Amino acid sequence: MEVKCLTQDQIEFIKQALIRYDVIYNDVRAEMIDHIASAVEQKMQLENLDFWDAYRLYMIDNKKELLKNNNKPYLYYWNSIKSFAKTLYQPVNLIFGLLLLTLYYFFKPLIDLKNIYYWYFYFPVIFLLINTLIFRLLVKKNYLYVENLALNLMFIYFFNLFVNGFATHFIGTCYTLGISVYLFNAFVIHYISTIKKHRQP
Amino acid sequence: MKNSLLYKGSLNTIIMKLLDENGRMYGYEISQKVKLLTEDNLQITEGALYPALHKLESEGLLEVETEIVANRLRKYYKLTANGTNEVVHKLAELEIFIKNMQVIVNQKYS
Repeated sequence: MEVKCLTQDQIEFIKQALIRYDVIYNDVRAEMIDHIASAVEQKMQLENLDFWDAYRLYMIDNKKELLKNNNKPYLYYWNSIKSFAKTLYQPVNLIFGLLLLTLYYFFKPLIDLKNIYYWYFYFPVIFLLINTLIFRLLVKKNYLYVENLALNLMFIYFFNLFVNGFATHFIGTCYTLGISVYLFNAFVIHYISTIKKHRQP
Repeated sequence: MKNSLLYKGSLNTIIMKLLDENGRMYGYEISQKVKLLTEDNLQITEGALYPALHKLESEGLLEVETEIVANRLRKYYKLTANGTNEVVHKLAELEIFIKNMQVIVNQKYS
């Protein structure tokens, strides 16, 4: 039997319905659209229904379950942190960490930690600002995975603030600064790989 | 999911076992496969399936391939190398659990 595929207009209808139901994240919505469309196609096929009836009947039965976890980003924060934590063990990051330690060991007298920290302090802030500008003003779409990435960066920023202090008042040591730089470097690598992974075809 | 409390702890194993046997699958396909294999006795709901898939992905056990299929984006999930190793452990764990449950359930008290 030939499978009935939904038209572009019917897919758009499902998308607009989900927007009305306040499914704000594009990546979450795309997966929901495919799920609903697949179910509706199957319903049309098996029960010989037209799109509208199949869609209406599917949503009556499944809408509540479908929207159960909608717009609860906190449910996914822990996943995001776990995903970032795995980056920390990647060889490239471990080598970078080792390099930091070696540099400090051999060039200790020449390194001015306060000065380095003054410049480093703003890196996470600038990164977060650029990320926000790109997604809010240029892309103009919400993505759950981008919000989760920003959350990871916030953690690094506050960790840095807690152990090293503000830009002009460095209270840390070479080790706390090293850990902070190591975390930020791992984050940048994690950020790039996550964006690549979610890039749509 | 029907009898959700009983099946909840095994959801990840069910998903991984299916992916191990079928290669890559998308969300709806997984839910339908489970329904078919269990003759409608077990239905994985959307509210349980996607969080489980995302969790497994974040743990590095699954990876995602996105494609445009029939006018829409589709996310296919497949096991990573780690996931393929892990599925063996998870199935062994589940088998031990089932055996233990059978022992307890079939115990005759005199």
